[in-house]
Amino acid sequence: MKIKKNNPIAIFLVVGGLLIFLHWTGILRSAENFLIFLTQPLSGRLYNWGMSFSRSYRANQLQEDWPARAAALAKEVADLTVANSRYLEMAEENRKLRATLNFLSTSDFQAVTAGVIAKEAAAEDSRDIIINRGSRDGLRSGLGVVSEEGVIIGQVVEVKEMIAKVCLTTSPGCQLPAAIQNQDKTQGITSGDLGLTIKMSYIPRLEKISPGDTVITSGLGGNIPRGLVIGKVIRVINESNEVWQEATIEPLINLDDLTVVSVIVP
Amino acid sequence: MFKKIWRIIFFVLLLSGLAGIQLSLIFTLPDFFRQINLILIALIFTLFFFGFRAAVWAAIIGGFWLDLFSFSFFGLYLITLFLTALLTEKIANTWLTNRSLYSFLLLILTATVGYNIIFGVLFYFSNNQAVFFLTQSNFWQALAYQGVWSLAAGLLMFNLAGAATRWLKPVFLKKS
Repeated sequence: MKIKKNNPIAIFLVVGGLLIFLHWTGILRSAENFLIFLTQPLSGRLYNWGMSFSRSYRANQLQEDWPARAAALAKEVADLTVANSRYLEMAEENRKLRATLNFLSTSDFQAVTAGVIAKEAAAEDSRDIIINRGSRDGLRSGLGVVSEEGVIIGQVVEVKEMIAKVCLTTSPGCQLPAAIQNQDKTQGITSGDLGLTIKMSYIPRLEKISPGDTVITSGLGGNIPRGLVIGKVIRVINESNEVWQEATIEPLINLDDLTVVSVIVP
Repeated sequence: MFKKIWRIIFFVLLLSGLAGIQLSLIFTLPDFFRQINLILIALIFTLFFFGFRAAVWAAIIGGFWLDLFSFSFFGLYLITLFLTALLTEKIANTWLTNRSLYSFLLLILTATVGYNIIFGVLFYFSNNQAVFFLTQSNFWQALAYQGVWSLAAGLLMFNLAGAATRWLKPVFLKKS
């Protein structure tokens, strides 16, 4: 059988096959990195436009709830101000104690600032983001990613030379070792729930958890430091016929609004 | 000769731009808007107006850019777009042979369904997904949204192209 030179299927098999082959062998890597580098400024700008549109669209949708939301937020700000002053005092006391005991501060970590350039929407319930830093900048999978406010927003899951994929705490399959700031210091693993909230499962039934408790990273595993805020418990499911209880956690910030993040390198 | 080179450069830049917009802008939009699939629309448009060969090039250029920023296996978008073009070409040559609006819209709808199923199958097997995509309500909702956008884009493109050329037939075929 003779294959015509201009046969479209043959064109795809040759050109497409060659691209895939050269990618896998790594020959194309420099060219790919150059193209990513070249398009990053434009990608960042397009991403910001998309975010602005999304923000104004959401604001429009929520317009009717504004007075109620403003009142709730004002109350929350007041509560947080009180809590913050208490924590500042404790932090100062902690610093003095650490210095006295000559301990290395656990907050001694480096952060790599990165811009969000795209979102990966391969899986329908996933909201993974793509940042403009990669293995060249010292990133590796498993590292924690925080927002501008210092709230943990996810974890690096895959790294290429110039870019990295970050799963958000609300994405299914994005698991973080966590601890609840309650009397029992309950520990567990959080994972995303439908891309909207965070779930903490397998908590022994006898542990006392209440809505409003803060959930932080537990520091287990070593990749993510302890004490980064994940969110607040909004609901506890504790059925009498179950061995475990489950907590639903709400992130403190809107994870759809991220433009700049920091990757924590321990 | 130069005209042809400029046309190729324009084609490459246009598809690269569309891929960039798709990745960085459209995927960040709220749910309904993020289902716009610019590359797929461009592919069908190219296939319908410029032929299968041009559509294969569109699949290669668009697929390459999408794969470059994707963390699934390299070639996922390339293969999906090519198979979609091939499927649509076969349907266009076998059943929807006239160049009227309804056949164009039907072709776009078939391509959208085909693209999503091919992509879902390849993604499912390459990423060891726990749940099969056809049983997920998210998939069907996204497909419905994407169908609406594709049809709207098809309607717009057909009318624009219809105004520019006599090559297209009216909305419905007239009885002779």
